[in-house]
Amino acid sequence: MSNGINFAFLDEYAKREIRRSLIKAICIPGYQVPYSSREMPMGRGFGTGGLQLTLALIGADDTLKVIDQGSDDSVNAVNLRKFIEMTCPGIATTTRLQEATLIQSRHRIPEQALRADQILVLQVPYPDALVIVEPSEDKRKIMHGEADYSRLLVKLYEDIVKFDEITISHRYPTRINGHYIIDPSPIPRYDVPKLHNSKALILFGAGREKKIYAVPPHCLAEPLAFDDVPFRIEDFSDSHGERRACKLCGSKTSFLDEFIDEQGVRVYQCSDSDYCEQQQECAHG
Amino acid sequence: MIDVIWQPEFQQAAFRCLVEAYSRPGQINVLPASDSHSAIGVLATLIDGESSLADPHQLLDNGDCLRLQIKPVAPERAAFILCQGTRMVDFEPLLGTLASPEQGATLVLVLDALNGGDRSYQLTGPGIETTVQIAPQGLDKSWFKQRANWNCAFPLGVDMLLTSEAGILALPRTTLIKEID
Repeated sequence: MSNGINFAFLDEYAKREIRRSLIKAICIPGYQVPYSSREMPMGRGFGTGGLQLTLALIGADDTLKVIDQGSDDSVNAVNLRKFIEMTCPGIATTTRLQEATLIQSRHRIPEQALRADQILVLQVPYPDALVIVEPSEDKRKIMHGEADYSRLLVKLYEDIVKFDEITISHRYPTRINGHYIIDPSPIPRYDVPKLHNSKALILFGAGREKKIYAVPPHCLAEPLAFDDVPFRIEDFSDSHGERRACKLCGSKTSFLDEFIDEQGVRVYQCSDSDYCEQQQECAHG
Repeated sequence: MIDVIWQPEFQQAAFRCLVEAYSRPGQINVLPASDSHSAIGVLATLIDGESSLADPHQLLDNGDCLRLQIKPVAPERAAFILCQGTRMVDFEPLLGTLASPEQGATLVLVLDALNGGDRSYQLTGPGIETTVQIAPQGLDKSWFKQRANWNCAFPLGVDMLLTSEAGILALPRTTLIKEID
């Protein structure tokens, strides 16, 4: 290669190791497969886990979309996209979900449904949902193996006793295929149901914590809840009980970000910028 | 000329094929064109000196082992086991441990064909929307019988890959297999 960098930056041994771990992650849904997590030319915590998965997967015929909090233009997404473009000559990049074969995302699952021929890679800061109740990783691994999540359920119960509500806003613990509970990365509750019976393969990469896990397509994914306290997503109703709309595209179904505009007024707009733009294009014909 | 299976471009495309196969058990995927059997292409994609391979039925030649950078070990200690499907099972693979189930072996079986066999099986489990039917040819029935024993205590178990000349079909440990009468 002319610039002296191997295609997709990682050497072939590193890719093979990630590939072996990734296959095991698909075979054991929700289990955090350890891997070596190579040093990347950016700090851990900037999406190196997701990046390594993307680099192990990507080929010259792929079309890549990178988003951060739903936006293609925020700094984390732009930097990761530039890095992948630089090290993977021949690939195409896009902001339109429908054109992408590979999607790397931080903190959101795209608003529109994924297709079976797409793969979603999520960047994960904290892969283990049990870390809030058990500090020892050795013990957590045994608890996961035995599907022993009683202490996590007690934590949720304590929330209900104290606040009448499970207070987890993002990283909502979700049980995969009736066994392992995963931290689904900091996606909002709104996105959690999209893990269930997804058409696309969803992969999770934690670079600093050196873990890879997966939710295969058409797999059971149940957010933790109680019979009498069902799981619920964010409520975007205003004081009159009416669903707030995006100020740009008018969507009343999308996940909204809250802003204070220059006049000091509270406004709402879609968090997924690609979806919002497509809605506006539709409206203007 | 060295076969394409030893080239990164082939291995990337073959890996995507493997990801697709393991994501959708029972579906037949075709590896990119090469001069080698798909089983060897899969091993070239996943294995190097950092991993371990058993070849109890001596399906690899010396050149393959050199390029894979491995010395075959006993099936009881191998992460990958390459087998001839017509032969009976005569070993106990690694099943992993409760804390590290990923150490369960990957069995790569060489078959005559992935469809058109006498016995049909119905598959259910993650990756399968409703059910899928398969009828592999050249697979001794001891394999699925043993597989049921090996995989009876999730998360422990083995992950299988059935291979024909160019096709692959994956059976991760979560797939339930029922013979159709």
